[in-house]
Amino acid sequence: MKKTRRIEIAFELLRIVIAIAIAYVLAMIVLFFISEQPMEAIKSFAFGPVSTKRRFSSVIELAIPFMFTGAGMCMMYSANRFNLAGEGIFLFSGCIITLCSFQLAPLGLSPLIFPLILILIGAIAGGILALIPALAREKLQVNEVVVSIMLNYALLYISNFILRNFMLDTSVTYSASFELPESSKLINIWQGTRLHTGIFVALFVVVAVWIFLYKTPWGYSIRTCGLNASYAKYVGINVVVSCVVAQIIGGACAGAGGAVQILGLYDRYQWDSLTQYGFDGLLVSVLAKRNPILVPIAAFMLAYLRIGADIVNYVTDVPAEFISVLQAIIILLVAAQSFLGGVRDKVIYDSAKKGMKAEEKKEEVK
Amino acid sequence: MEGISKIYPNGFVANKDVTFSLYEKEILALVGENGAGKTTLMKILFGMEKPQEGRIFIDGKEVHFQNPIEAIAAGVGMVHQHFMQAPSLMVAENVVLGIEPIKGIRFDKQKAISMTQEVADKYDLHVDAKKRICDLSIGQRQKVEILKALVRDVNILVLDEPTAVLTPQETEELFEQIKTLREKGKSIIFISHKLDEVMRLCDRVTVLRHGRITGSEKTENLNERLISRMMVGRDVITSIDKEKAEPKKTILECRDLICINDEGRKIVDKVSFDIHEGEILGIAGVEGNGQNDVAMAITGLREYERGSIRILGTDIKGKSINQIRELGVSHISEDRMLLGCAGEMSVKENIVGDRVFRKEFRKGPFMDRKRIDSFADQCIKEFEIACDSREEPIRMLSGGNIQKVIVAREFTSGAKLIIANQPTRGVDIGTSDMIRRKLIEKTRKENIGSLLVSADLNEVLEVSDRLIVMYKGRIAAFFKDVKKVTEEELGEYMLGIKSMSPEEIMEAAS
Repeated sequence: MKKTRRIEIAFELLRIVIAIAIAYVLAMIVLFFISEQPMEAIKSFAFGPVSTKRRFSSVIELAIPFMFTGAGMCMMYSANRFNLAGEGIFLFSGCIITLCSFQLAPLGLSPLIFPLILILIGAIAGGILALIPALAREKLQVNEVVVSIMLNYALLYISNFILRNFMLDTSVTYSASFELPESSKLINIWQGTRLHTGIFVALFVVVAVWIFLYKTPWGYSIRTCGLNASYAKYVGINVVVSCVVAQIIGGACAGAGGAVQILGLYDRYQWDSLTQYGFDGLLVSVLAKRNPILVPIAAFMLAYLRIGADIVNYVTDVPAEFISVLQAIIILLVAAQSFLGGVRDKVIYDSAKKGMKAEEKKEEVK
Repeated sequence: MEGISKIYPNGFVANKDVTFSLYEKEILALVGENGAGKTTLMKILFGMEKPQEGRIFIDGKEVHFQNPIEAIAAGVGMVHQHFMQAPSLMVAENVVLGIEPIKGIRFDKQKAISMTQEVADKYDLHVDAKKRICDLSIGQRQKVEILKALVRDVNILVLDEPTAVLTPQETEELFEQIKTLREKGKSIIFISHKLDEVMRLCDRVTVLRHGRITGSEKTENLNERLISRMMVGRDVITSIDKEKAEPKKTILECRDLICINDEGRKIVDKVSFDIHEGEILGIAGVEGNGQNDVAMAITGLREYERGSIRILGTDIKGKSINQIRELGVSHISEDRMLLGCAGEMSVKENIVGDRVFRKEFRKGPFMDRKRIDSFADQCIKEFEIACDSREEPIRMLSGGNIQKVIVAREFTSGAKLIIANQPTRGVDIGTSDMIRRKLIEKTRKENIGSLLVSADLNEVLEVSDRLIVMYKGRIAAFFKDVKKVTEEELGEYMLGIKSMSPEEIMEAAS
């Protein structure tokens, strides 16, 4: 039976490799028809992101928000709740901490403490907001997917309202807030790039979520609820509380992410549409198989694909939409549970049969 | 059907060399305990399962059904135990589902209604074809189910425990209708384990036990006692030695417990009993007579409407499952995979499922991995759980070993009261024996109370000290000394042929 487990893990890895290979082969075939410079395009897509320091750092910059929302979704996904409020929370948190930064600026906080306080505020706001779909689900049996998606739009328009009415800087030509206080921003850590200390916050959050989920009894309860809620109830776990807690923490992760994104990369709050980082978080958590420790890898992979697509878009004649299709194929094949499942089952079956035969032989010898 | 054998992929032999026949214009009863193979046999006839061996003949012609559609075409119809209906559609729409009359490209509703009405009138099955299913009573829904088969013009009709959900009046009406069907030339197979119904309705009885036919006889040559013996008579396995119980303090006190199911019927009706330290109380009965609900009520998995349950003097009404567990109750549930474990989690995680918050398994806010690991290893050794390591997902274990993990968890929780609900169902003989021995050993040595709910007569007779038989939610019999009870006697109480007077029960319970 140990063998079975090993075969399963081997197939998991094999599946990812084959998925990526298939996607590239498909892309190659199509590119030969639609592009003047197909090899160039493939090369840019595959190796573009590591070709310069600047490009590589932008992969990591992009992976940061993915890590936050991915860790948050892992939390919710572990409790088997698909609370998608992370999308709206990410944006709203960015807005609310900008507003708070103006209020707190006169206190003259040090540049070490100030951003941390703001991130904490973002996390708390996120936790509270995630509670809305969570309570609707656990107390009123309303599907959390529906509530959270509606909530996202509500949060978008509330954020727009706050921006217009409380912090709009009319001296710039686009719609944006006043400039963030310098002491609130996250510090740049790599000369010549925009990489900021938010990466450490992101790694901290990922590890914290992992420890919580896998090393504490509360995390254990949450995972049990996600895997078999009836069993969780039977051993005496409070399913409602566990699932609500999971969603609060998930929301807090997204909130922290929104704050880090604004403080790390922007001078002003200027989002006027949903950022998509929340939904990408769902993607990351699926790729990471709901295990937070795999989130950095999944986030990096997704960011790599996205940056590769950008590069192809501006160095070759291939349209960006084509690259989206390519991304979709890779993600689909990696996430598809039963891709290669038939072959795997056959291998497991054969090995079980061999095992049986070997035992029979042993007995004969005896 | 001739020489039918069916072995499920998990190795369970459901039918072994079964041969039986059904004549024209006949009501044949197929009786047997749960798990005797009645339903499997009928599923084979209806094309839902394929047998490994055997042949089926209808009107002398051999048939091979790949699926129910072919079976229906050959004139076999089946009414399932659980209704298969779309509640929001009207009766006629449900009846014609799959053979919808069409006008152009549109569904011809008028035709559907007239078709339904026509068949309903022909067989005296009065249902309003225009009503929606969700507005009907259970009895009427049953009729719809029969109509569904009749509208497809079948000659053989299989009814799988049709009276299980009906009130006595509805049952009476159904019987009249079944007799009408026989007069109109249909042949009927009636699956049941309610012997009084079988005696009243059927022309012939075929009995199944452990997947084999144990008898086939005309009803007039039989009585309930004879059938009961054919159903439950079984081979005696090695008995377990145990000392006599010396009951002391009361651990569980259950008084006038009443549970009402979703359909508003009393599924548990005024059940009272005590469990004392160092004793095992058994509850025997054919499944579905309320035993499971008693176990669920005590463990907090289901609410109870009236009566009281006290554990070590504390009333558990309104308490959460966790609070009840903390009072010292542990529970081996009848559904291993749904309630007993989380398949994706490891053996280790399943063993400590109920106690991760306890101080002894924690180091500050974290789980104490070393302590949990060594505890899990100890359990694996003590309960002889065959697994590669404690980290293996429990779903990869065999059924018997999964049950051992559950038993390991529930037996080591430091409980004062163990509720063992069908602890050995679907488990191999070796493991069953171990579980029974451990239950007795634990009860005696640690002076705790145990409740054993089981449909396995050997098990209840061997393991329990005192024994209740439940029938239709009531206590039909209460035995102070299990040693004096025979299986035949037990069978008669289980099937409702005999029942003790309230005075006798009171006397035994005191």
